[in-house]
Amino acid sequence: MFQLLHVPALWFHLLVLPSVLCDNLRCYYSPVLDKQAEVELIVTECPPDELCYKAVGRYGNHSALSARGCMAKRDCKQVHKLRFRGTVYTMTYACCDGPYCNSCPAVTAGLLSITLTLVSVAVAAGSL
Amino acid sequence: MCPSTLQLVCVSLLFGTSLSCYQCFIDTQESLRLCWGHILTKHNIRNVDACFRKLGRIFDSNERVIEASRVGRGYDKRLKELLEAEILPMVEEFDLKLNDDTVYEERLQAAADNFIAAASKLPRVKEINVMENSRSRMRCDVPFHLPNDIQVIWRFAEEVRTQQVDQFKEVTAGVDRLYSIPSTNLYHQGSYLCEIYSGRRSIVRLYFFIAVTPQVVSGHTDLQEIFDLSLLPGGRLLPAPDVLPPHHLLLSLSPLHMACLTALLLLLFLSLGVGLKMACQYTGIRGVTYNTTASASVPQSQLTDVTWLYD
Repeated sequence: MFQLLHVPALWFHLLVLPSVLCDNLRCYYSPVLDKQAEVELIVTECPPDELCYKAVGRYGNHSALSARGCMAKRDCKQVHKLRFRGTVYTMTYACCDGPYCNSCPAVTAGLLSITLTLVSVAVAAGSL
Repeated sequence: MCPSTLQLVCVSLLFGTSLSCYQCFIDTQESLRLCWGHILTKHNIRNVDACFRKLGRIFDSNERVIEASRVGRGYDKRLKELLEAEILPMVEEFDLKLNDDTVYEERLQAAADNFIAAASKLPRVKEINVMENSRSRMRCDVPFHLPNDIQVIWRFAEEVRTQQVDQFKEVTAGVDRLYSIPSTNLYHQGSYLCEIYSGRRSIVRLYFFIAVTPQVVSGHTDLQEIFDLSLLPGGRLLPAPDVLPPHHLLLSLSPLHMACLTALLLLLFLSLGVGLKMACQYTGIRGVTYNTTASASVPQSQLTDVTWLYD
């Protein structure tokens, strides 16, 4: 509900701010949590050379954990074990290079391209 | 070079195994509020990721925090209260405000130190099992630096398993953090409490329980062995095979021999019995006459004994 109210603001940020101001990359942040846990997403700014990520923690085939934030580009492909509250999970990461691009449940190349298209369309519309 | 090393450290911390449990005690929403205004001074950006890594480093993978959190059964609730008492006021103070990472570092370290000091005072009973007459040692060690002006007080509550301070009686007071009993006796069994004071403040309280296993059972076995050995010639447990004891000789005889021998002995006893009866008849008269003249108060049973003796 709360997130819905932020959607217009998000799109404003997404469309206008980063491309115009050349700001640091902004991503949503959420610590490593149970996938079902509902937490209000907050915004974090990435240091240079970092991308937004969305992580999935798997216990066997069951995806149990999720996390979001910024991470170094070269770490995006890594798969590693994480001990969380006494259980070991396998963490995998999906990175994306775009403001707030880790907002949705699944970060995909398709989403990234859609966002980029929208941004470029907006920029083109703005310049016309 | 430097930033990449730093990042590597950060990443390794982020992905390192956390052994303590900050997130078990502090609600995620509160941590998000706490970390919202975390400024990475190096890049002058508001970075939440680094703040959470900091929390992980200072609380979760901090050996001192882990050690201090090893409290007695049921005291995890107190741990939560102690950590909340440190973190929640900070959350209110930092809420929606920007603060540099250095400020966060300093404040969170202080919070961790306070938590360690407070959690170390929670009861934690260390069990020590010792055999009677052997040595037992207890060390009043804590996983943090202690001031120089400490006083260590050892207290003892005989037999009972307790963590109630008023049940203990003071044994020693000084600076020695080691308590050693050279030869543990049964009366040493009970609860021990080591308390460290800095000035008038109690900063450490450690509990021990010494359980003494009596040596009676094992002692008896040892004594029996010594006894058996001393009875045998030359301390040997088994006699030499060529020297057979007399009862051995009997056992080696065949049943036929045994039957013959028994018959022979029976015959001998029978013939003796006839002779004996005749002898009794003869001496009996003499015995009685003898006794009546000597003493009339002698009981009948003794009389017969006397009669037999004279035979």
